[in-house]
Amino acid sequence: MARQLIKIPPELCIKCRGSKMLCGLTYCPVNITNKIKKVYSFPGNNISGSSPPSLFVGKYGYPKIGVYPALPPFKGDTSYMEDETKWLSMGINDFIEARLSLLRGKINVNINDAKNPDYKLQEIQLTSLSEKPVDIEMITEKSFNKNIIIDENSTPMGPSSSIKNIKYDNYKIDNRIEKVYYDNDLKADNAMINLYKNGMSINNISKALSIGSMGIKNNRKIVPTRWSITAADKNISDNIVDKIKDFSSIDEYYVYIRNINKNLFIGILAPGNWMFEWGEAWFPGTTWNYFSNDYQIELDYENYYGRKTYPDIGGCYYSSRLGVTEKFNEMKKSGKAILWREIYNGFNIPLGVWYVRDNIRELFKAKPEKFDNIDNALKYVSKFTKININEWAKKSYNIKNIKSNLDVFL
Amino acid sequence: MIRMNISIKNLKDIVDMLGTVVTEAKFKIGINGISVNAVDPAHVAMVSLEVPKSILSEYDVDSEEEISLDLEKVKSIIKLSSSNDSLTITKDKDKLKFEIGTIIKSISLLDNDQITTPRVPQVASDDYAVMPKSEFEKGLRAAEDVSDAIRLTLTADNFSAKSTSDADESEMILPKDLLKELVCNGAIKSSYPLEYLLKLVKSISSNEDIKISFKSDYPLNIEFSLGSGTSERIKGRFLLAPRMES
Repeated sequence: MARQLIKIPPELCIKCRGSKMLCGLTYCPVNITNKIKKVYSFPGNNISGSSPPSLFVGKYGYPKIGVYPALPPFKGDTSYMEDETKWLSMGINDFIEARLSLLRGKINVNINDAKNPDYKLQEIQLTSLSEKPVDIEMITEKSFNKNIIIDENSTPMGPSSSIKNIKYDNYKIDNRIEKVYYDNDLKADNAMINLYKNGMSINNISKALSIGSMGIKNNRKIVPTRWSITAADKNISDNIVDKIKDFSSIDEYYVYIRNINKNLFIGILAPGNWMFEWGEAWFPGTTWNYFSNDYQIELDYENYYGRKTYPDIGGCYYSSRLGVTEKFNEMKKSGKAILWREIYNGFNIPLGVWYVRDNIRELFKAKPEKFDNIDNALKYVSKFTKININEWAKKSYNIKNIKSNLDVFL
Repeated sequence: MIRMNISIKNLKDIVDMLGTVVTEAKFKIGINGISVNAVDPAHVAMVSLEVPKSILSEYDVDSEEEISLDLEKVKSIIKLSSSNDSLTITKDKDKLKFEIGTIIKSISLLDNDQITTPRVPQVASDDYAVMPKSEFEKGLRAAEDVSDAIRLTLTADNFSAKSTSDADESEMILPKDLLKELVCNGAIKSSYPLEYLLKLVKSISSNEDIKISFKSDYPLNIEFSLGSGTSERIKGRFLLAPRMES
């Protein structure tokens, strides 16, 4: 896979051996390839291991889809594999390795089976929501297929095979989820917000949503993983947006910068009523810009009243929105949010939208530079961007909006 | 020294109107009355109020002075009273004392230096329309679920307010005979952010008339009256920056 897409001078690898990142990529393709090979060549169809717990729900064949409990082929405390708070600090190499070792066993379900789950499905529901890793013995029909998940909208996962037989050891369902699971009158939207307020991570909330563990009993559905992540990001950030609209506005321009793994994250918070935009500039040679010679900017926004359509830019729109609404909520303030990201050559593997969410959260943990007008704020930002700041400003909806003020007429 | 008596209706109208743009405001307490300018943090909307001495049953001020207040605190005092009450306000060093019937409440003044004095843009337009606030409000409400901006157009024949989105459209047309006054020397149109206008109209009584003047891509100027009073009223002015669409 890696060899087809990337051309690396061979002498670099000998000097680097996966440690210095001389090729300029944010992960080592040799390490990853070896790891994938190991998983591909996983012998036989009988695995025993500790599931973090982990679960994937596919979307092909909707409404008849595959549900995949997953486990690495070894035992121990594997909880970090599903703990999104640990992923950023793990480094991209270790993260991908860990996630690709999650072997997925498949059962076929209809999305409506969640209304009245049979024993087999119920067992998957309950074990996938365990607060601690669950030991699983799994026998599959065949050895594992080479269909790993590397996808912008889901988190990476290893290959799969249909389940012949699966046995779970002890599990203890997280009591926050347990309440929601057995509440047949609680709407899924409200359930997600309850879980979030009780400190549950988006990864776990979306997992519970995807396996049909919440909602009014007769409306329960199994939801493909990629949709469930965006549903959680959107629904929870919608709720925070409603809340922050009541806070008073910040009265200065705050600028936050985060430069990591060939990614530049920029956050500008500006005075005024709530408004949001998320823009990404993919440089040539990055994940979503293999074919052109110039960078490509994609940007979506919403005004005070929100959006009516799904943003073209995809699920990362809502992941980044969650990150910034959390910041406003923490400050008990409101304002306009401009989030931009530049992605440079060397970052060419999709990691999932958590990467945006958690980098935005990290971005806002830093101390901001403060300015009394947008022009000075942009001048500061221009020191970090590779793209001319006027180019960004031209693409931006919020900058135009911010510049539409009375000062122009003084 | 500052000592005045103001009706709750007047005080409430002042605080509610300022509350559309700020939570803290700096008042100029002059010999002949009170004035205040407040601009929202984004510098998009500005409220200016002139409170003439004549609407205050008591007004004792020896020399002009500025005082800054947390409007939320004043609101909580207003909540203690009924609408027919009036209250006496006295400045006592760095506090402002409110007496309503049997209750005396003091709130601390804010540091004047902490509250920025807004710079007021000098805007003027010869073209304007006077209309019942309730008519204008109808047009805003119709646009509310369509877009966050509203385009106002003034011609020699009518005043209109239109919002469009990819999917929906909303338009209000007020022909000349539904307007109290109309002066227009050539068609003008300009877009404005809707949420500010909605907040503004909520703070003006429904039986008031408002005077709207603007130019193309130029601030909107809305003049209105607040509070009770027969000969003189509280005079208000609302300035709103245009939404530049390109």
